[in-house]
Amino acid sequence: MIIAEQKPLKEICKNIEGHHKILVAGCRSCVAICLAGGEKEVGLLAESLRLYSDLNGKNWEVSEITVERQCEKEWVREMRPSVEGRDVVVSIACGVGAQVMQELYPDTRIVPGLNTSNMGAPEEQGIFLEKCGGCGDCVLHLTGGICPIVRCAKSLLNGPCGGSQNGKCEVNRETPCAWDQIYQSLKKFDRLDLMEQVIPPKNWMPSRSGGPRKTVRPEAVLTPEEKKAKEGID
Amino acid sequence: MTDRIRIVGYCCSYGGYSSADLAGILHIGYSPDVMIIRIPCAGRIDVLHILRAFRDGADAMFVAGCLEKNCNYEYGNFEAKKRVEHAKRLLSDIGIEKERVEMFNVASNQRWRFPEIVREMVSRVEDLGPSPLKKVVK
Amino acid sequence: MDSVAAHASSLDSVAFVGVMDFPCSTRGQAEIREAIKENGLGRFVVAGCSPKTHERTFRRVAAGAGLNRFMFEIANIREQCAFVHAQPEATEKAKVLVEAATSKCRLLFPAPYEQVPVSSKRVLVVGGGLSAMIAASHVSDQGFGVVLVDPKGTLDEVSVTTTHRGVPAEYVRKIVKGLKSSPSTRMLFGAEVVDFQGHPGDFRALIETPEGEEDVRCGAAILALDAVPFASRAKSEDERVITQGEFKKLLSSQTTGLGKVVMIFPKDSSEGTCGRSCHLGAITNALRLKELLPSADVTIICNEVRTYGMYELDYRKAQECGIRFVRCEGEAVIQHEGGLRVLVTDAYSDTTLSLPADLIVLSDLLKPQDTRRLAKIFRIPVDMNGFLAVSQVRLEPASTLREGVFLCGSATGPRLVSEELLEASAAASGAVSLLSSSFIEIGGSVAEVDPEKCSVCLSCIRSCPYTAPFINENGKAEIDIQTCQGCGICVGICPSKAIQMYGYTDAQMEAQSSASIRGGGR
Repeated sequence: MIIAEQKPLKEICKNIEGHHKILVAGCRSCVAICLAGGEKEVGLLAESLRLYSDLNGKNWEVSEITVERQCEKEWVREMRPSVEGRDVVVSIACGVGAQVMQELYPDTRIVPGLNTSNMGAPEEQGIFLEKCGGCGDCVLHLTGGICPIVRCAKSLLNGPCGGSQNGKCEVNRETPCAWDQIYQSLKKFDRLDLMEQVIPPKNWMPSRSGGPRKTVRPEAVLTPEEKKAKEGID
Repeated sequence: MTDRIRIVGYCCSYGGYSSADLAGILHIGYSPDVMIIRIPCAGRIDVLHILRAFRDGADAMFVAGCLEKNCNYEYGNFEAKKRVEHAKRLLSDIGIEKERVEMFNVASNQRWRFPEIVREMVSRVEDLGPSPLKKVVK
Repeated sequence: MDSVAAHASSLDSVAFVGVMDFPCSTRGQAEIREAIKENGLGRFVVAGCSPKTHERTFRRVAAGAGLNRFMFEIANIREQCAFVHAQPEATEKAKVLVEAATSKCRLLFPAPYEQVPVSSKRVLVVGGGLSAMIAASHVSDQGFGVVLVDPKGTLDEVSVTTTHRGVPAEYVRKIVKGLKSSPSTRMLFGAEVVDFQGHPGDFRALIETPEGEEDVRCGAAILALDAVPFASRAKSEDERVITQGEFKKLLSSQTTGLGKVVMIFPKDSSEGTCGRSCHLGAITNALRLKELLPSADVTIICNEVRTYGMYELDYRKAQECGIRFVRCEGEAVIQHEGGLRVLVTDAYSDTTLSLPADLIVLSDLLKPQDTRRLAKIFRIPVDMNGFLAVSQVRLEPASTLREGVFLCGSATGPRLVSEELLEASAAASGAVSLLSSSFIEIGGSVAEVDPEKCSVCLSCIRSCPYTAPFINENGKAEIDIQTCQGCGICVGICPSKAIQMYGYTDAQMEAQSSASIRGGGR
C-alpha cells in the first residue's frame, strides 16, 4: 500500500499561514494503516493546530473530516458540507487524495499534510518497508520475488555491484543487498539459470516518463450509450 | 480558563489509582491541585487526551501506570509510555514545554510514590510557570 | 457535605441530590434505589469512597433499580480527597470531583451485559499424557461428561509410568480403567482440535479424527499438554557426549573407565527450555555415580540449580560428597578434538576453565508441543518461550484469560510430576466449578469496533494481549466480548478511531477531564 509520513508541524503551520478557517481531511485507507492520516491523526493534527493557534494568536478555526478513500470522487463529493466556507484544507491523505480533492474543489486551496513516499508493506506493527517501484514492467519472476528497482539502492538489473558485502548493501549496512537476496531465493527454487537471463536496460516508458500514466480497463469503461442511459436514470 | 494551577493525572485502575487510594488510607497528603481520572489501564490513553487537557487549561498532566513488566494487562504501560513520548514530541513542536507531561510507573503498594509523583509535577509547574496558553491575552 | 451537595444541585441535568452516611450500606443502597425509582432517574453519581471498593456494590444497586448495571459513576471524595487534603481545599476539590463525575455520567450509555446459560456440562480435555488422564478422571468423578482428544494412538500407560518418576503404575492403571469404563467419557485417539468457537458454558469444538470430522459441544476445555523432551544440538555425534537418560542406563550396567564426568545443565534458549526435573535428575545420577564409584570426579556446570523445596537436601548432599558445581553465565563450549574437554567461564572468578572429561552428560531440553497451533485455535496468548500463558501465575495458575479454557500438564512450562498432579486437579476443579453454576456473566467495560470506520489495519489484533479482536466474516475487525478484558489498548491504538470502550469512551474521558480542569468555583 501507499506509505506516507506526516510533515513536521512547523512546516504545515507555515503552509497555512494567512488562512483562518482550516479543515483537516483524512482518509481511512493506506494512510490510516501506515498511521499517518487516519481519523486519529486528523484529530491529533487538528488539536495540535488549535493549540498552536491559541499559543501564537493565529485565530485559526480548525474542523475535521475523514472519508473512506480520499481518491474516490464520490466520497470526496460527500465532503462538500465540510469544505464549504473553509479557506484551506490540509489533506492528510496521500498525494493522490490531496489532488483529487483539489480537482473537485478548485476554489479551495488544498495543502498537503503528508509526504507520500513509496509503495510498501508493514514489516511489523509500526514499521513499513518499501517493496515496489511502480516501474510498470515487473520482473519479479526473474528475480525470485524481489524487486531490483527499489530494493537495490542502484536499481541494478543484472546482479550486485562491487559494494555488496556479506549480503548487505554498501549504502547502509542494515539494508540487505537485494541481489544477494535474489540469488538466495533463486537458489532455493533451483532456478539460478534465471539470473543468467539478461534483463535489458529498462524501458522507463511504462514508468516515470511521458506524463501521468493512464490505465484503461476497456471492459469496465461505460460506453457513450451506457453513460447516456445513466444520465437519464440519475 | 481558570487561574489556579491544575494538574491532571490519568491513573490506571491497578497501579496509579490504587497507589493514590493507599496514600489516602494512610493519610499521606499531597497537593489538591492534582485531579485524578481513573482509566482501566494506562494503555487506554490517547495522545489526543493529553493535548485536550492542555487546551482545557491544564498546567501539566501525567499518566500513572503499573511498574514495567508488571502491567495488569501485560503491556499497557509500555503503550502508554510510547504515547506520552509522542505527546512530548508534539507539544515541543507546538511550543509547550515537554516537561509538562510525564509517564510514571507505580505499584499499588508503594504508598510514598503517588505523593512523590504529585510533588514532582507540582514542582515542574512551579519551575516552568503556568501553562503558556494562560499567558496569551485573549 | 452540604456545600458539595449544593454545588451538585446547581449542575445541569441533576434531578436529585441525596446526602447519606453510608451509601454502600444496605440501607444506603435501598435509599438510592428508592430515589431512582421515585424520580425516574436513568443514571446516578455516588460521591464517596474509592470505586475499587464498591463498584460491584453499586452495579447491583443499579440492576436492582432497573437500570443497566453500568449507568453510574463514582467520585472518590474520600481516599483521594478528604483523606489527603486540608480544608477548605478538600471541600472545594470535592465539588470539582463531583462535577467531573457528573459530566462523565451524562455521557454514559448502557454497556452490554448478559447472563448466558450454561448449556453443556461436558469438558473437552486435549492431551493424552498423565495430566490429561488425571484431569479427565477428576472431571468424570465429579459427574461431568468428558471428551478426551489424544493426538496419539492410545492412552500410553507405559510411557507415562517410565517418564514420570514416582507415579505408581498401579495408580495410572486404575485411572485408565476408570476412564475406559465410564459411560460419560469418550476418548478420541489420533485426533486433533482444529476449531473452537463459542462461550463458556456453550463451546463448539471441531475435531479431526481418523474417521472424519466431529463436532463436539462442551462447556469448558482443559489443555493438558505434554512437552517433548529432545537432546540439545550440542550432543553431536561424539559417543563421549550422552544424555542423562543414557547416563542413567549406563549407571545400572558399568561404571569402569569413568574418571572425569562433566555434566552441563541447559540454559533456557530459543532451542528449548530446561525441564524442571532435569536438574534433580542430573544430581540424582551424579550421586548414584559417586555411590558406585567414590573416586569419580564429577563437575556440574550450571547457571543455577533448580532443586527447590525438599530437593535442596539432594543438592547439599551432592556438594558434601565432592561434586563440584561451576557457575557460569555464558555458554559452556565442548571441545572434541585433542581430548574431550569443556571450556567454561566461572562466574565468580571470571576465569575461563578448561575441564578435561571422559564423559559429558547433557540434560534433555523441553519444547512445548503444539502450543502455537492450539493457542491460535483457542485464542489464548503464548509466552516468550512458546508455552501457553496463564491468567495469573500466583492466583490462577490453571486458568487462561479466556474464561472456560484451562491449562495443566506442561502446557504452561516444564513441571515436576507432583506439580502436574496438582495442576491437573486445579484445572479440573476450575472447569467443574464453572459448569456448576447455571449461568455465566459476560460484558461490562468491553471494547467494540464500529465496522463502518474500521480500516482493517490489524493494529488492534497485533496489540491486544488477549487475542480478543479478530476479523469477522464481513472482513472487519470484531472484539470477542468474552475474551476482552477491558484494558483499552486497542482503543488507543486504532488509527481510524473505530474502537470505543463502554464506560471509557473518548467523549466520556474528555468530559471528565475538562470538568476537572475547569470546574468548581470560578
